[in-house]
Amino acid sequence: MIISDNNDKFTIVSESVEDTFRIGKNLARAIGPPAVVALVGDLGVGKTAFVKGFASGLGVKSEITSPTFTLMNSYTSDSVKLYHIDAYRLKGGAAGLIELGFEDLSAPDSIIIIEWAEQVKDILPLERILVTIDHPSGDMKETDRAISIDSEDSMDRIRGAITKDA
Amino acid sequence: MNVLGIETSCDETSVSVVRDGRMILSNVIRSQIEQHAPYRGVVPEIACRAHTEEIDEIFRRALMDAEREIDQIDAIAVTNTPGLIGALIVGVSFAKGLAMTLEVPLIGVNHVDAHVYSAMMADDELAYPYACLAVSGGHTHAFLVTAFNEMELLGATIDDAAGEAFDKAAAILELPYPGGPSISKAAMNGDPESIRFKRTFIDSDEIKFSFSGVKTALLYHVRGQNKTRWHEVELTEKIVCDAAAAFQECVVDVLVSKAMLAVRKTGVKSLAIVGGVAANKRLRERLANECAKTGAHLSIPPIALCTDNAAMIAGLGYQYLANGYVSDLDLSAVPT
Repeated sequence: MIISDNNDKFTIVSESVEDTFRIGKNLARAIGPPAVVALVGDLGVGKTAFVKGFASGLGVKSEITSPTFTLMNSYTSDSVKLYHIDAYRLKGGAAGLIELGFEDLSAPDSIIIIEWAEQVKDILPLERILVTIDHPSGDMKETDRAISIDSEDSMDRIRGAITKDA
Repeated sequence: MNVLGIETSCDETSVSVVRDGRMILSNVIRSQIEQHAPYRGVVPEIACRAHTEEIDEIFRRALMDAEREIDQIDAIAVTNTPGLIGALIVGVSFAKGLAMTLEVPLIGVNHVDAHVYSAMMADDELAYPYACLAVSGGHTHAFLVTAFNEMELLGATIDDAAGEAFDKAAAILELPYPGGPSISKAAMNGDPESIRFKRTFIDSDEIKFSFSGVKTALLYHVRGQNKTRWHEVELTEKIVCDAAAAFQECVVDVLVSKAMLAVRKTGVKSLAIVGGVAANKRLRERLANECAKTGAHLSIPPIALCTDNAAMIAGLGYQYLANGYVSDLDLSAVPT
């Protein structure tokens, strides 16, 4: 269900973890490398579920787990390299991310997805796709999440892919 | 034979001297927790700088504590994977400098393999094969260990590591970082039965873990989501302690159940628990009970070997060396 929509941003309701996974998967299918996806949302909104779906949409076969220890995990599929960064423990903003080699990751065949992107917003490129997941508000159910997608590029393709089975 | 171990993979700088793979002559660990605590996490930039500044002093103290001179060191073992790339490079470079100057072998060691091996160092009765649960801020992995360099992954977490779950639960309950010790402390004054969190996968015959759901359940419990309205509740001491106790009980239940499943599935006689979360008292108690019931031998290293440390690196390094494996001076630091 789309709850709001304008040119460069729309919000859709996910009704379950499976829904969130599917939205992540559909987003991945609508975009190609190079891309940076900035994921914003509180503890427990389903960011990891979204990334699992996103990786599956890119054709990554390995299990996606939280990259806490090394702050970043990398995966490859037939077509892309996926870098999964968890900025939850990555403090110190841009300096911390640069230390991880962030600037070297941006390659023509790479897609970077960053959880807790608000912690490192000073280093994100302008062309990022911003995904915001919110806890339920108002009359929404406990398992509902409001997922907003905000991107300057490929918005029609993204909207089409994500809303086709919503 | 004296092996000097170096560990700088994350936020602990550690150097140790170990004789013959088991006898710990020194194990100097300097934690950077105080430097990172204001940020509730690890700042890679701070970690690298701190390692660079402190490694020489830690190295000298490790020799002094071991009562060894530098020319009595027979080999250098160093963590070269996995970890923060910048942090690993500090240890690897220092190790290369030492190995070159002293003209002794250099051995690159995998940090997780060393945790698994650490159980062997503290327990003369532990023998291969054994089941091993490695639980820390970055890992929740069960292994079947058949030799110092042979282990099979039986299963792992599909999302958060157990130690990470403790850190996040502590953040939700507004308790200090790192979360393991603070949840454990609050739990002592709480009722573990006060909330029944779902034990994900506990009835499954597979060895796998998930701690993401219980974190969300905890959040909704303390924030008082009542299906139609979203509001924050005041975190009283009772709410925090009860929630901490119930959360810890849930995580411990799952870890104990899967550890015992690993023992049953592999048919081994011994179980080792390694990594930072192995310091958790409730986990130790519960495992001791379960192992006593089934007759399995339980091995949990002392705390100094559970947290990140260089003794386990020197210990496993010795095994490599004794079996003819050494690294070249082009040894690389590999983050994952």
